[in-house]
Amino acid sequence: MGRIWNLVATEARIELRERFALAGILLYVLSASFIVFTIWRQLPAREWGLTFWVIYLFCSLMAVLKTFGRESEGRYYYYYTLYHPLELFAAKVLYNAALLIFIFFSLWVVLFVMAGGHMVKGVWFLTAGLIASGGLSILLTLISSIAIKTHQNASMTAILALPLMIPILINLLRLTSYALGTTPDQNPWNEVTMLASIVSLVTAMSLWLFPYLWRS
Amino acid sequence: MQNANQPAKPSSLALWKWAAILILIYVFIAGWFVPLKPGIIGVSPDKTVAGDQVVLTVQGYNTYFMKDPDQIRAWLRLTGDTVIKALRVEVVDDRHLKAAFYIPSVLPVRQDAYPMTLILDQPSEGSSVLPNALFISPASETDSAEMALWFKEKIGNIHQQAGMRYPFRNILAETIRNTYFHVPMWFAMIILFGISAWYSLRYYRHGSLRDDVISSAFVRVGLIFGLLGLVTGMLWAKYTWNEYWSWDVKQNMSAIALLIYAAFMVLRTSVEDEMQRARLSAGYNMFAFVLLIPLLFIIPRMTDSLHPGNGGNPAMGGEDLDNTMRMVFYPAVIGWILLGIWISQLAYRVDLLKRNS
Amino acid sequence: MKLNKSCHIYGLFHQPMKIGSVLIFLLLFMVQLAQAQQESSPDYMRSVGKIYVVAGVTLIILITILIYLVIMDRKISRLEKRQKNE
Repeated sequence: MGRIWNLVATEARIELRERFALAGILLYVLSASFIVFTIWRQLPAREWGLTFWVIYLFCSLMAVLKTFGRESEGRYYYYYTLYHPLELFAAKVLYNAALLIFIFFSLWVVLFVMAGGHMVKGVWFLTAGLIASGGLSILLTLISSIAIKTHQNASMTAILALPLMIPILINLLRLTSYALGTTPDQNPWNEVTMLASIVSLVTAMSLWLFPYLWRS
Repeated sequence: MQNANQPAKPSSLALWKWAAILILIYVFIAGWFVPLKPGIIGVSPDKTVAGDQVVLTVQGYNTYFMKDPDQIRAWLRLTGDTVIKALRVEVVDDRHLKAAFYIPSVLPVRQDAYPMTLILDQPSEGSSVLPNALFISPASETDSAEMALWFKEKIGNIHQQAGMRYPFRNILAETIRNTYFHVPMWFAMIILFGISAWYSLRYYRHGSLRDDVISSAFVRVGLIFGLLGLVTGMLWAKYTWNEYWSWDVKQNMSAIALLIYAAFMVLRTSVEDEMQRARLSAGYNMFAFVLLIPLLFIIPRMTDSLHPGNGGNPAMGGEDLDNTMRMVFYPAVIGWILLGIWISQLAYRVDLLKRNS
Repeated sequence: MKLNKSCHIYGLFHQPMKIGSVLIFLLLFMVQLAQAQQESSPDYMRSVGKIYVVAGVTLIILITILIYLVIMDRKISRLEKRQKNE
C-alpha cells in the first residue's frame, strides 16, 4: 500500500511541476461549459444534468489521455522492473480518480454559477459523481493502457472508451435526474446497485487483464 | 473402409452444416408460407354517438366470412364485462361484412374517451379482435334501462382456429414473420461474439496466434450479423412504428454494441506488431464481451421499450410468441446461429491460409 | 481524345472492383430505390398486410450474405494466384 501511495505522490509531483496541467483541465471545463451555455442560454433541470455529464465525459477523456503518455520509454522500463503491474495500475487509477473528482467538483461549481443549482437531492448527485469518478477512472486507465500501444493514442482512447462508457453513463443520467427532482418517484437505490455492479464488473476485468496487457 | 491411397473426399460436409441447411430451408418455407389467422384491418365508421344505431362495415384480413355466414357473431366491448352484441351480421363477401349495433345512450363508466374493441367469432375460422375499432361520444342522459343493455350479453363460446397458423397482430400483420429473420440475427451476433471471446480467452491462456485469427474472424462475422439485425430492424420499424429509428432502448444499446466491436476492428488495424495486436485485441475483446452483458440484457429490461416484453419481462415469453410460432422460432434461432458459425469458419480458414502461405 | 476517354471508362471495369466501390454502388442503388418508392406509392410497402416488409428483410439478409461470399471468393482467388506464383 505504501508503495502505491509513493507512486501516486510521484505522479502528482510530476503533474504539479507543470503548473498548467491542473489549470489546463480547469480551463477546459470552463470553456466547454461556456460554449454549451452560450448555445443553450438557459439550462432547465433536465438539460442541466445532461450537459453536466456530457462535459464531464469529454473532460475525463482529455484528462486521462496523458496517463501513460507522460513518461518516457525508459521510465516504463524502470517501473516495469520495480513495481508489480497491479501496483502501477492502482496508482494510476487512484491518481486519475482524484483528477476526475476534481473535474466533477469544478464542473459542478462552474455550472452552478452559470446556470443555477437545480439540485433537489444533492447527496445522490454526489454519490453519482463519486461512483462515476471511480468507475470511469478504472475503465479509462485500462483503455488508455491499451491505446498507448497503438499508433494514434488520442483518437484510439476515445474510440475504444466512449462506447464502453455508455452503460455507466446511462445509469448516471438516471440517478442525476432523480437528484435533480425530475423523476421523484424513482428508487435511487436501483441505479446505485446497478452502477455498483457495473463498476465492480469493470474493476474485476481490469484487475485481471491489466497485468496481461501491460507486458510488452 | 477408406482406401489408404485415396485421399478423403474433400467435398464431405460436416453434419451440423447439413443441419444448418435443412433448418434454414424449413425456416424459410414455414416462415413464408404458413398463413396468418384471420384478422380485422378496418372498420368504418370509426366514431358514433351514444344512443344511436350504427352499422359497421368491417374489413377482414385473411378471413373467409362466406364459409358460414349465418353463424358469425360480433361484439363491441368497452371494458371487462361491459359488452354489447351485434343486432345482426350481414356478410358481404369473404373479406367484408356489415354488423349493426345499438349503442345504449348511457355509458357504464366515466372515462375521457370511450374506445370500443370489436370481436368477431366464426366457428370455422376462429375469432379475431380489433382494439379501438369504434369511439363513442357520450350523450347526456341517465336511463337505468339503457344501462342494463351493457350487461345483458356476455362473450362466450369463442372458437379457436385449429391448424398451423400464425397469430394476427394488428399493427404487425404479416410482418410477424420477421420474428424468424430479424430476431435470430441478434442471437447469432451474441453467440458469435461469445465464441470470439472464448477464443480470446484461449489466446490469453496458450498464446497461439491461430486463436487470435479465429477470434477476429468471429467478431467480423458477428458484426455483419449485428448490422443485419440493425438494418432489418430499421426497415421493420419504419412500417410498424413509423420511424426507422425511434431511439428505443434496444435500438440504442445494440447500436452501441456494434460501436464497441467496430472499435475492436479499428484497434486491430492500428497495431502493427502481430503479438502485440493479438494480446491487445484479446484483452479488449474479453473486456468488451463482459460489458456487453449489462448493455444488452440488463439495461433494456429496466426501461420502457417499444420492443415486446419490456419493462421487466424477458422478451420471448407470454403472448408475443404462441406455440405455432415457437415451432419455427427456435429452429430459426439455431439455424441462423449455425449459419453464422459456418460463415465465420470459412472466414477464419481463409485467414489462416493467408497467414501460412 | 474521345477514344481515350472511353478507354478510360472501359478500363474501370477491367480493374478488380474494390470493396469500396461495391459499397458505393449498393448505396446508390438503395438511394434510388428509396426515391422510387417515395415517388410511386407510399402505401406499397403497407399493402397485403405489409408482406413486402418481410420480403425486404429477407432480401437484405440474403444480399448481404451474398456480398460477403463474393468478397471472400475474391480473397481466396487472390490467395490461389499467390500460391501459383510461388
